[in-house]
Amino acid sequence: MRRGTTSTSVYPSQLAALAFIASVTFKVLMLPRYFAGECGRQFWLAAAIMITLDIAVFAFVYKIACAGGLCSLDIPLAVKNAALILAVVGSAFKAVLFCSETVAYAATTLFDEGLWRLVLASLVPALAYIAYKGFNVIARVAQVAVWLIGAVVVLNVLLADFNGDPDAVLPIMPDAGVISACDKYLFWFGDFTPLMFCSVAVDMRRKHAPVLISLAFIALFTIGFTIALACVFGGGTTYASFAFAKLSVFNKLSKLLGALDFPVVSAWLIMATIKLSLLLTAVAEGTAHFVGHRGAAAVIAAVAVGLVCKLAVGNVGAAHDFFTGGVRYLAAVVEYAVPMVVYAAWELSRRRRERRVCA
Amino acid sequence: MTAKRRKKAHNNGRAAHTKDMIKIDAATKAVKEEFGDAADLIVMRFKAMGKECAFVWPDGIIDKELFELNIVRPLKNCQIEVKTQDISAVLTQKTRPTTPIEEIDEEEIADTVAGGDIVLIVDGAPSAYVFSERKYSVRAIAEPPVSNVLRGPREGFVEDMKTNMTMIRRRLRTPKLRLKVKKVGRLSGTAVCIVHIDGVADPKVVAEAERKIDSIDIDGVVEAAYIARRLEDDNRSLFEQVGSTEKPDIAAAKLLEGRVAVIVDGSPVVLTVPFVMFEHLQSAEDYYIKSYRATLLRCVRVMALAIAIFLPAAYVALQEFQYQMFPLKFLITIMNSVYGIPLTPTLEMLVVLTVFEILSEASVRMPRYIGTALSIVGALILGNIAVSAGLLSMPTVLIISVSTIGMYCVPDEANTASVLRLTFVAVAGVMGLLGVILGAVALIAYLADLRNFGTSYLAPFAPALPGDWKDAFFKGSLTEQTTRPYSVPNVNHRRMR
Amino acid sequence: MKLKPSARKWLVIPLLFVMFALLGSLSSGINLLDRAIVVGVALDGAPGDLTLTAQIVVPQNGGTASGGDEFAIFHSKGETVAEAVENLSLGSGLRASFAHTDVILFGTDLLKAGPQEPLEYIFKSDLVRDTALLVAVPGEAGELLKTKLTVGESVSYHLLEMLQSNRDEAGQNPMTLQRYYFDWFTLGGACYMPLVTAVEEKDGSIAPDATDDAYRLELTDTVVMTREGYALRLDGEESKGLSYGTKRINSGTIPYEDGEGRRLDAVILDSHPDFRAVGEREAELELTVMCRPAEKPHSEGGRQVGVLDESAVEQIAAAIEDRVIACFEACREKDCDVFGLREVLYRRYGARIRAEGDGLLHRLELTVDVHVFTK
Repeated sequence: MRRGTTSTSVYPSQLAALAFIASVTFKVLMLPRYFAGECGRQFWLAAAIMITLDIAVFAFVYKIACAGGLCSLDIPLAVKNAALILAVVGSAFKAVLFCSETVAYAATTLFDEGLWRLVLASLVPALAYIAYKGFNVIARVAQVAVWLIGAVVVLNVLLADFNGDPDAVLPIMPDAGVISACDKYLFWFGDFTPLMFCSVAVDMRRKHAPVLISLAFIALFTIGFTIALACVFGGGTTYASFAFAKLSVFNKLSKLLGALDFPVVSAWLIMATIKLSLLLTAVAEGTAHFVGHRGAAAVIAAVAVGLVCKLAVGNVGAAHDFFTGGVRYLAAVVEYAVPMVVYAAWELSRRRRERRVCA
Repeated sequence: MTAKRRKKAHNNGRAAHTKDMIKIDAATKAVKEEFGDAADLIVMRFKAMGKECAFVWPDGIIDKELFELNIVRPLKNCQIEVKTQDISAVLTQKTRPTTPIEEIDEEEIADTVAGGDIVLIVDGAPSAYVFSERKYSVRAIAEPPVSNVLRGPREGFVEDMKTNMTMIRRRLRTPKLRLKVKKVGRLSGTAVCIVHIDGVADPKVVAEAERKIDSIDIDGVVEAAYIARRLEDDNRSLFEQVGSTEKPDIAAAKLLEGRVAVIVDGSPVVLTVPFVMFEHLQSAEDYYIKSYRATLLRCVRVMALAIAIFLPAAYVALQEFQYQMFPLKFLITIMNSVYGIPLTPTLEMLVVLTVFEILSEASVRMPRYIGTALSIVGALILGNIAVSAGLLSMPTVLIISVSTIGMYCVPDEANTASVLRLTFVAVAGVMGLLGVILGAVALIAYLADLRNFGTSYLAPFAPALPGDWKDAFFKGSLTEQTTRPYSVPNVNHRRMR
Repeated sequence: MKLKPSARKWLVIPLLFVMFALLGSLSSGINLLDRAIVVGVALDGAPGDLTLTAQIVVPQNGGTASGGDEFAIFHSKGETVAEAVENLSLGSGLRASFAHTDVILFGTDLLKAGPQEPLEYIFKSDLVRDTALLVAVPGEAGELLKTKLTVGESVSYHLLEMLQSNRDEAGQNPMTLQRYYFDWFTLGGACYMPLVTAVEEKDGSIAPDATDDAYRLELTDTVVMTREGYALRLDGEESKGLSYGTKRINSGTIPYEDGEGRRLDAVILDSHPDFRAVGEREAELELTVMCRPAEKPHSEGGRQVGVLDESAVEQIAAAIEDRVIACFEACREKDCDVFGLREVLYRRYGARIRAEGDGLLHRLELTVDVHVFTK
């Protein structure tokens, strides 16, 4: 292990859990509302298109993880440093956006609105601590959390009592609104970049089943959730600020016990914590590669994100406008192009090495 | 006989003619000075084998009957002149000790006597001779107070290391059972026995345990906890990283899984390493009853522990911040019950927690005779008077009661759970449900990073080891336990065919 | 001063104290008893001059959650809902919380004047759960909230129970906030909510401590609205027609006459509506109804009684069809596409239906095909 870094070794099942949480968490919060505002009831189509793209890019990220992770790859230094810097910057930006969304959710739904400072002040140290622990630990936390999340999802599906209209997904027509929504909200997708830092344990690099299952769940969950939203709220999704919280109140026990969104809120907060920690860890890991001291890197990451959040949090609308502007294309480059380029560089290096060996 | 002494005994035979002979007067005087004329030091001088002899022993630790019959009497009857070099052979022939006679130098006499052995000093002999005939009062074998079972063995370890070793040996009748004794503590000289099964336990774990015990440089060890803290990788942690048990059947089962046990003389607690957190949620009885019932009980224990730690915090968080999560009728009931209470929910919970801790501690310490009366007073004070007086609310008392009962469903984790629930209540009072969840995730991260003897603390859940899940939440049938756990390093995974 | 590693761990304690103290200072510190838990809210007035009436839980020492005397009524005014809520908090001295509000009443005056702003605010702001029920009240909704009922419960509780327990009955058309906005965003945009009236109970109350001037609530009519606001009021029969067309029903009765002209009842066990687009101007409602006679089958004077024959089935089918058509026609007159027929056509034929505009409703033909199965 290099100085200033922690273990990035993960098992395929842990990577699968991380991939699920990284992908799904912030697609069930404010994104459906944004999508619906852009393309009406067809927002589920937009989600389906983008998630398919994400899953395709994940193949490259997984290959990089199986090859030992971004920091350990034997690729030209310029490519590696550029990829690291882009990954750090991209992850930092994402952390700011998602942190601001989390604070907005927690502050409006869980607390009286004026307490967003309390939420931010609670969140940042916890995230810094978990980020400091490194990928191996976050992967284990995800592995533990995924049981709770799974139980909550199953419970909500079994007890669901939607007064929905399944035909609300009709007509299925991917029109210009759908494509423009995909373009405008690019930033909310491509969540697998931090996983490039992970390194799949050597003796488990042939076990692909957990990852494949996870990808299937990601697709099923994202598309299923957005379809459920479309069926329950239809065009009203454009007014649904926090989608998963809105959907979770519809259950058979709510008439008996009152709204039972407690488990769903808890599960989502755990997912958000893991996702944000993952982003911060990527920033810390990438920074530590240059700075050489992990603790300093984690503190820098947390403070930087926290400071920017302070600016973004008071106005989620401003954050929304910023991240739907030109910066989304930078994110697209980071999330989609960088894994492909890094993988291509690694593959070329590997072939060159093999040729040298044969010669 | 230790290897060191054995080597000395061998060498002494060869080099007797070059060593200084022991002068009995000087030697006995030196021992008395070393002991500061202690009241329990007995020095008995007599003549035997044509020489001045003296037995030195600590009173109350030896088997006087055996000593008198098998050692003193035959020796006193031996009045023939014996040459110096034949003393050892004559002693072996004439006396009938139950353990081999050791030979020691004059400098080791005091330590040997302090260890509980009888030393024979013969004037002019090159060595002193050690007879080990210890016998002292040991507590009777009984069921340990915190490991009660409805079905299964009820024997528990005692304070005598030899008895404990015997109890394990009775359950593992294999020559591959290794018991290695070390002495720890400069002044206490406490015997510590490292136990493992050769061919099952990972040699690296055994070596690591030995290394850690060898590195202990302390004046005295009076309880196994002293050794436990030194075996832990992070002894500043709130969480125990060394297993402990007072039952020989559990110790034997853990040895069979590939663990290493450490028996400490003077303590009924036997330590086991490596340790995973889930061990505290397992009970011996799980292996003696049907697996369905065992599964149910394990799930109950997990739930109980989670309730114990998080229920008070969740209640405070919901009352202070996230009241909207209460169902309406429950909320009205809570509002009615907290009406007029002068304390905030957080303070109220902390007060009740503190009172419960006081009651809990007092119930352990108080004399039996007034225990009943004080328990009633404690229950009345909390359960009735404080609530009627409007100082505390009923739901708070109820929640703490449920939490405390849940805590003692897993008694091994009670100490940790007690600190954690207090911490989480404080966190909930300040940061609400968000704080509780962030705290829980941070706690899981901390535990996920905890390792001991190469084993992850949260195994077999993080990392996931599906092979071990048949003895996790779901207890498989004993016939399914064909392999040893993968979370414990061992060199032979096959248990059953 | 460099601390030993063993001493460093104890730094955690003062650090934790400081952290908790700082975080605690950020908290609002509002006690649960300082909050006004609103269980029912009524909105009256007009946009720019709203009156908000809230039924608030009043905690009592030793009280229970029975729903009787433990409530108080507070009023406030404001130009917007947000202002009215703020004034409610100021006036009551408690921070208003709508997280447990299950019933929202609208006075028909407000519905006629334009309820968009209040409804949109409530739906967008996460103040109220989406399962809250919307109810219309003729005249002042706030007055209804203060009404003393014969059953002794608060209006909010009782209304909630009525709407929940009878939600599958014909004529009851409970409307949740979620469903309201779902319908609002469909092509037709017509929504509805049940209308509740308070009827004086002249035969004496059943609650032990109620006075003679107690009331009971009736939910027979329905208010239909367009996106702009109040459109019309459906009477009892038309409301039943609306029920048949919009939801599954498993309760209620339909009268019919037997061969001897006696009026009998059939009990509805299940009904299932299915709207289909038949053409770009034609929609069909296929309604499957399962029912049984109210009386058990038996012989009476040599005749079989309690059996639904062909004539009875035809009468039942015709009765249901009449009600549905009556509802549709009444709504169409007021440009209300209450069954969402334009939406049905749009889902089948796509954008060109949207392009036809609101006038399509008057060119539409609705066929009702009722299949009655007897048990």
